[in-house]
Amino acid sequence: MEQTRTYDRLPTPRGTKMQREEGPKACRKSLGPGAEGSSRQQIAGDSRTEPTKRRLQRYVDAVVRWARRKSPWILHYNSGGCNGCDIEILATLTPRYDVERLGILKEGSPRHADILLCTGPVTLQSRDRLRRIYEQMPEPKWVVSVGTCSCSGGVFKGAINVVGSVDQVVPVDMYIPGCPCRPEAIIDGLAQLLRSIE
Amino acid sequence: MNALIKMLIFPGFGFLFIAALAFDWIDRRMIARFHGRVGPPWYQPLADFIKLLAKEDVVAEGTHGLAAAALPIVSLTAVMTASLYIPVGGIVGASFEGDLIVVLFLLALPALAYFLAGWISAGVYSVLGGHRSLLQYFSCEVPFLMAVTCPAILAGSWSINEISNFQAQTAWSALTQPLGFILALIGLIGKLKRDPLDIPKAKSEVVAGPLTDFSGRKLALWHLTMNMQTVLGIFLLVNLFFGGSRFFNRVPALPVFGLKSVAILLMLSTASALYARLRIDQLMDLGWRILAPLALIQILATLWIGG
Ligand code: SF4
Repeated sequence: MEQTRTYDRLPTPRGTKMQREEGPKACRKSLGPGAEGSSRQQIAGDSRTEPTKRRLQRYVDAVVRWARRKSPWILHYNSGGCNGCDIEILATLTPRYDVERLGILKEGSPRHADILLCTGPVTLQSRDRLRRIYEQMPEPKWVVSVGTCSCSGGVFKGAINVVGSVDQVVPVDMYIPGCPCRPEAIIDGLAQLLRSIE
Repeated sequence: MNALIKMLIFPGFGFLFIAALAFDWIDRRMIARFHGRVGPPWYQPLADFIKLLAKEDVVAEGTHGLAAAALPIVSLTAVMTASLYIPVGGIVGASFEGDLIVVLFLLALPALAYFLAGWISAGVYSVLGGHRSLLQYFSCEVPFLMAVTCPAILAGSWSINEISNFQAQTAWSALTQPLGFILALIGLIGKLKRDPLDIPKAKSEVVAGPLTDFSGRKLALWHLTMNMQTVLGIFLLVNLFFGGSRFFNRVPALPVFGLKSVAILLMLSTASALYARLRIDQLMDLGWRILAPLALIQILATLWIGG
């Protein structure tokens, strides 16, 4: 894995102040050339001596970050759960919840997807497949583990054919607990992941 | 200078790009309304496009890298070239006797590129999708071409601009040849691989068809090509069957043209929301046993009336 991934999003209770602050506000601050004192600015140096090319780069970055936040395409993989969470994911995609408002589309091919939604514990058989699907997705990519099983192994923990939670195989960016978790919880988790996209 | 503006801005690339994104949004929004939901915000196609441009571009092992890079560019070029010959709102980019045939040829190139995209990929789904796209092309293109020739026969000209002018002075082909219009609409749905006939890229069967292994920039170009093709197909039908930008012999106007285009887009969206996908053998049956003979009848009737 080229990117070092932080696992510290897990212990923070969801919806706390800290996580929300990191979102669009911080992004907006680094947008304008006059936003002094933001951490990006300090790294880049004084805005007047900053070369035009780098400033242009920052604008492009901001646009790309906006596009990534607005257009998450998801891929769904069950690595060995009881199918309960999968039914909830499919319920999330129905017109009743209308996740297309957030730009979320379900894609069939890993090559098109941005977010991998994993459900269930990882079994010995599906471990390699999960890893392969993850490797097939183009960067930047995020993994969301949906359901208690994929967060921790859940009721399947310790079974002879089970490796354990999803984060033992691929790096996970957002955990959504629940057995099974409700569609509202999944949407909330995805929305918070999108807010934290850098 | 004038030609440059025409090529790059108004009926050319800039306008086509904006129209492609706008039509994509209108289409998605209308399908969402059919489902009883709200649908994506207006910037959604733009965000999708930028995101795909900024994504990693993976070339899978076993794929012909050069061809994978060239095919989306070739099809985009063909579609953009075709846009020069289709009059938009009374403004003609370029026109000569026989440009209808050139446009039909240029709009057929992306279908070939789409098949080749499946052929050069290593994945089984891509190859299967490519074969399906070729079969679908053969069964949809023939009725489409035959239906599109009817207005040309009636007007006695192979120039899109003259055909639409002729109809503005007499009557719309959609009224005099309703059968031809319906056939052309079905053929267009098949050409664009839109929802009831999205057999080559059926998600639940062949993942994403020939585009399964494409990602990043190439996928963005493919999506753009598809959206531009939709726009051009609709513009073509407006010119050939609805008298272009004129409303009962009044002055040509862009709003009239826009309204007619959106009306056809609404028909396409309705079809995608209402009907389930056909199997490939059902489509072959429909294309060769029903649509092609009907198109033949329409041509004979046109010859009988017009000739
Ligand atoms: S979390 Fe519960 S519902 Fe989801 S896969 Fe595990 S056991 Fe099934």
